[in-house]
Amino acid sequence: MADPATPRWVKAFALVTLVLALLFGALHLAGRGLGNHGAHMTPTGAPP
Amino acid sequence: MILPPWLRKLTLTAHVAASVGWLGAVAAFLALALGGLLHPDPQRVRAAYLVMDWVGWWVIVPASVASLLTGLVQSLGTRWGLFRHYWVLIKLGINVFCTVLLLVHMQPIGQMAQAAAHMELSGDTLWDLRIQILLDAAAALLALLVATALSVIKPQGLTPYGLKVSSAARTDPAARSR
Repeated sequence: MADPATPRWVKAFALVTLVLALLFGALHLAGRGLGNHGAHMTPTGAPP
Repeated sequence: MILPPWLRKLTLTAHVAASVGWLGAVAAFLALALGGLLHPDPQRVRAAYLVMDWVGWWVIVPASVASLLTGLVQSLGTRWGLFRHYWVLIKLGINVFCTVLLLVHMQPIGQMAQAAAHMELSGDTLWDLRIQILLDAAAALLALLVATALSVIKPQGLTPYGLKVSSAARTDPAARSR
């Protein structure tokens, strides 16, 4: 009979993923980078 | 529907080739992003961003879509299923997430290449954008390495749906293929 509880590795994976996602999101926002995609340059590709 | 063995092997080969190709292409992309950020020669920096756009559209995007499609065929066409095992479900999540993020981020990469074609990218020109492209490539590489490890290790663990299907299969063998 399989254990109906969520495996420990899945819980650990979810926790690590959450931490990394928050870190990545924070870096994204801090860098003003791709949060507003395409807002870095004019349509011709030149910087504003 | 369970695939016949020859078709299962064919799609498995295609899935491994697309997935490992995607991983390798992202590693090359990361090297270009690093070179584009740090190399002192402005001409090489421009070349790096121009190549990144091509590699993105001609290798990484097709590989990601092929990996997703062949993965779906593999899981739905075998007894692994798509929602029965945690490792398959997590791999699906990684694949979909990375593919969507890649498609979203191809626009700024294209703009970066367009800028590289028209101007010199030295010093801190478009620094924030270059940093973000590097971070995205590093994050994608990490996610794809995790997906590769899950494919090789196949850690145990059935989802609630998998448990339901598994217990149904014990009472009704015909339910195994559903």
